[in-house]
Amino acid sequence: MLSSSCPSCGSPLVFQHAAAPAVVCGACQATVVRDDLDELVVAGKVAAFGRDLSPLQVGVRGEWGGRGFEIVGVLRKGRDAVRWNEWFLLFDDEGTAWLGEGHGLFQLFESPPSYPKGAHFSALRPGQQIQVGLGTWWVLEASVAEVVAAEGSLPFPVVTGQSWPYADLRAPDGRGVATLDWADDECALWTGRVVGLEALEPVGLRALAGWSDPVMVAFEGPEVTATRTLKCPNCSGDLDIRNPGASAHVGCEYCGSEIALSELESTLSAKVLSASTEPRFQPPIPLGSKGELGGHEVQVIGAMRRAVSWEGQLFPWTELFLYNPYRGTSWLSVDQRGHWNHITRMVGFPDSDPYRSGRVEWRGDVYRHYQGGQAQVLAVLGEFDWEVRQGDLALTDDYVDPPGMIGMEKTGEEITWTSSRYMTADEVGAAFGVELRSASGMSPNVPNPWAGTAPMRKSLVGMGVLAALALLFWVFSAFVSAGDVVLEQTYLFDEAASKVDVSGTVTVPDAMRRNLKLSLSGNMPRGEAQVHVALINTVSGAVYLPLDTRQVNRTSGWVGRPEPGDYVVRVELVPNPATSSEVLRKRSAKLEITRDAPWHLPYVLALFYAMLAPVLVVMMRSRFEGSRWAESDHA
Amino acid sequence: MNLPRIHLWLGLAGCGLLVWFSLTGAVPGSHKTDTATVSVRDNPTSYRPSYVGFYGFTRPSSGSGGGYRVGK
Repeated sequence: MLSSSCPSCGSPLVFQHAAAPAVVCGACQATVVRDDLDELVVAGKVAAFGRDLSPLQVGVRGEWGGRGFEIVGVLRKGRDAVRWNEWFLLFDDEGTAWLGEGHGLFQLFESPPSYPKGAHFSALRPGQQIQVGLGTWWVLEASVAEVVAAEGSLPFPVVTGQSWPYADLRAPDGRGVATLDWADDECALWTGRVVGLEALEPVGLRALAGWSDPVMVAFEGPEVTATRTLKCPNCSGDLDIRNPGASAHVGCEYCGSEIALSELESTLSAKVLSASTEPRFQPPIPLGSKGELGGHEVQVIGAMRRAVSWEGQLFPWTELFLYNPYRGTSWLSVDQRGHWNHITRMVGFPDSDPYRSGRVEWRGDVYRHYQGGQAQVLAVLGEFDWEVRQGDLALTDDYVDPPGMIGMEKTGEEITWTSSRYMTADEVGAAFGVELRSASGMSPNVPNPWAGTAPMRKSLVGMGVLAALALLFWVFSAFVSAGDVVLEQTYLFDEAASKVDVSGTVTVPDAMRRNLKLSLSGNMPRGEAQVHVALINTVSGAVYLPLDTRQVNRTSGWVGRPEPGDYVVRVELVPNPATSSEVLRKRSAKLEITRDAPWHLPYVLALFYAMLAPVLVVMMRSRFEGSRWAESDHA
Repeated sequence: MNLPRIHLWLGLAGCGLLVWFSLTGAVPGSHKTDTATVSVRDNPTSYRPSYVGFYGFTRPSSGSGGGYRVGK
C-alpha cells in the first residue's frame, strides 16, 4: 500500500496494491497512475460514479470460492444510452477479478485473460457461433463501449470518453460467459460465469430506500434513495426513474412520450424522442407496484405493448419490466387472453441449432418450436435498460415445453434468449395484490391439465374403485343367484315338417322368480331351421317368448321376473324347406332352462368401462395438445 | 366438456345399476307378452303365436285354435 497525494488537487490518495496502479481521485476526479518508478502521473479526468446507481459500492467485502475480496474500484461504461458497471475486485491472496453488473445480471471474471489470435471485431455478428480460444461461443452482441465514469482503484487509467470495441459471448451450454475486448492492439478473451449477488456474500452494500432482501442485510453507509425524479420535457409530469443505474429509455406514463435518458457527470437528463399527448395503453399492473415473485420483491418499472402481425391481424401482448436492485431484472408478460409468463434472461444459448432441428435443448429439457414472427413495439411506458421505441422490430421464435418456454429475439445488434414460466392470473394477482382477469383459451405453454402423473394416478384410482365395486357386485350377484337348472331337454327334427313339443315343464316358486335363463345349443348351422320357445303359465295363462331364433347352434334368452307358477315349455321346431330330410335327421337342439341365473354381462361391461378412465386421460391429454399446436406455425 | 368427470359420475351411476341388477336379478329378457286362453292352457300345442321376422321360411302352422295373436 502506498499513500500519497493527488498531483492534480493535493488530496490524499492510497494505492492499495500493485495490481491497481491507477486511482481516481475522489476530490478532483483525476485519474492518477503510479508508474514503474513510483512516480504519479495524471492520465486525465473521468466523471464521478453516482451513489444511487448500484447496491454495490467501493469498499464492499465478500467471499468467493473460500477467498475473501474487496471491491476497490468501479468502471462505468456504456454504449449509446445503455449503461453498465464493471467492479474491480482485489482478493486477499492478491488475485484480482472483474464483476460485471448490467442487464440485471452479475458476471464474475476471475481468470486472467487469454489473447487468442484470429478474432476480428468487424467479422462478429449477433447469433453467430465462433471458435475462440479453447471453446465455442455464441456472439450475444458486438459493439463499442465508452467509459462514462469511474471511482477508486483500477488496474489501468481511464478517462471519460475513452472507448474500445467489445463482444459479449455465451457458452452453448449456458454455463459460461465471456467477453472479447480490443482495448489494446490485441484481442483479450475474458471468461467467467454469471453469479447471484448473494453468492458473493457481500458485506457493506448500499442500503437502498424502499428495498430489502432476505439474504443481503449487511449494509454500509447512509441509506440511498434509489429513485430519481425528472420532469418530462413534454408534459412536465414527474418521471420516477427507479433504476437510474441502468435505465436508458422512458415512456412517460402521463403523456406517453418517448424519452431518452442521458447521463453526464452522474446527472440524468431527459430528451424527448417522440412526443405524445396520452399513453397508448394502461398496464394491467400499475407502474411502481411492488410484488413478490420467486421469494424476492420486485417492482414494475416499465411496461411495453407489443404485437405480431398475422394475415393482417395484430396479436398484441403486454410485457412488464420488473426490477430488484439486489436480484436484477425480469419480465412478466400477459397475452390478450390473460395468460401470464414470468420471463428471465437466459445466461447462455441453447445447445442445439434451432434453425436446423426445430427444437432446442436447455439443461436437459427439449423445447419444440411453436411459432416465429416479427414482433413490433406498439407503445412503451416507464423505464427500460435498453433502447426501445415504438415501431422497433425484432425477429422472434418461441420454443415450448409447458409450462416452460424459451424465446429468442434477434435484432441487428443483439440476440437475446429468455426463459419463461407460465403463471396463472391468480398467482400474479396474489403476488402484486391486484385482481386480474382469468385466462381463457389456449396459450403456447399453458400447462396441460392432463399431463404429468397426477391425472393418470387419479384415473387409475378411479379405475380401481369402479372395478372393485363392479367385482364386488358381481360376486354378490353370483352369491344370491341360485342358478338351478330346471329343464334340460333335447329335441329332434322331423323330416321337413314343423314340430311342436310341449313335454317340458318348469316351476317358478314365488321366492325364486328373479329370472329364467334359456340356453339353446344344437348341431346345425344357422339358417337350417328356426326354433320358437314359448313359456305358458298353466294357471294364469301368462305367455313369455324368450327364444325365437334361427341361431340354433348356440343362443340364449331371458325371462325377467316371471309370474310364479307352473309353465309348459312349448318348443316349436321349424325346418327350412330348403334343408334336406337327410340333413335334418342328423340335427337336434338342446334346451336348458336355469332358474335365478346370474347375468354376467353388466359386470363385464362395468369392468371395461372402469378401464376407460386412463384411456380418457390419454385422450384428453392428446386433445389438449392438439388444441395447443393448432395455433402454432406447425398446424 | 370434462370427459373424465362425466366418466366418473356415469361410473357411479352404473354402480347403482349394478346394485339393482344384483338385488333384483333383473335381466334384459322377455316379459309377459300375452295371456293364453283357458283352452290354450289346457292344450298348449294349440298355441298360435304370430311370428314375424323370419324370411324365406314358411310361417309355423302348428295348432289350430286360440283365436289370439301374440306380438304385432
